[in-house]
Amino acid sequence: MSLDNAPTLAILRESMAFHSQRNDLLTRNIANANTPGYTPQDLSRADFHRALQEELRSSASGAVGPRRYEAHDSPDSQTTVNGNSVVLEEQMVRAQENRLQYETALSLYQKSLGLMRMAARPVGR
Amino acid sequence: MSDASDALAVAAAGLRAQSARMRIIAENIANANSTAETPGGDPYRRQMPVFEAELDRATGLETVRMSRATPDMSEFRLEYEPGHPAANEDGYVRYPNVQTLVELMDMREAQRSYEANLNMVESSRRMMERALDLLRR
Repeated sequence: MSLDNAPTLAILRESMAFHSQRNDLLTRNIANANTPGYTPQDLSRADFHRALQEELRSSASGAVGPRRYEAHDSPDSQTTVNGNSVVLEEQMVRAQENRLQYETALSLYQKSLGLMRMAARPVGR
Repeated sequence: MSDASDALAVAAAGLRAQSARMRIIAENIANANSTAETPGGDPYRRQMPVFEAELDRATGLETVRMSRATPDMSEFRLEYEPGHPAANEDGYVRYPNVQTLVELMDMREAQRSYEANLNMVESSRRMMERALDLLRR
């Protein structure tokens, strides 16, 4: 097993890829907060879990390239008369939550790397 | 990594669209009392910004832009001022259909959306920065 596809790192990488793609999508929703007829889109957690399972199963055979998740419509609680269903507050909350999850994964990634580094260091140094 | 810079590009398009909208609102407010130059002529007509989702062909991103400004076809305000140079034969002057209060509310909304986009820029930037921190240690 190479260091590159150790299961922990693979999971965390997948998580970061997911959240960074979701951030992209949420930014697009916010940019279109006043576009008539626009429906906000989001990624589904279920897709992420499925991808994660796949990743774990295939981690022995080698790393899979970055995956693109399918975006689906997820209208917010209100729709304006011009057919726009972006509620700025809800999108901001989602974006904040998403960032938090991304940073959690990133911190864990950093820690795992630190652990490996520690294990690789010669004794007594 | 490209995702985060994509987010920056989309948020930048959002900022651009909102500031274009602010410009239209400023034009409306500035012209709230611009009457015609000839007697009985039409005064300034209120403009309304129209946003549309746009596919940026160079990057393949779906961004936003202000596609055009459409004129507001509602009635002009009539006021009786016989001495005014733009008054018609009955002494009425047609004033623009701009309502300053509506424009102000619109401006607030534009401001709020602008700030939301700015927040996304900041947030995406920080995400990128944290990822780059991996290199540092």
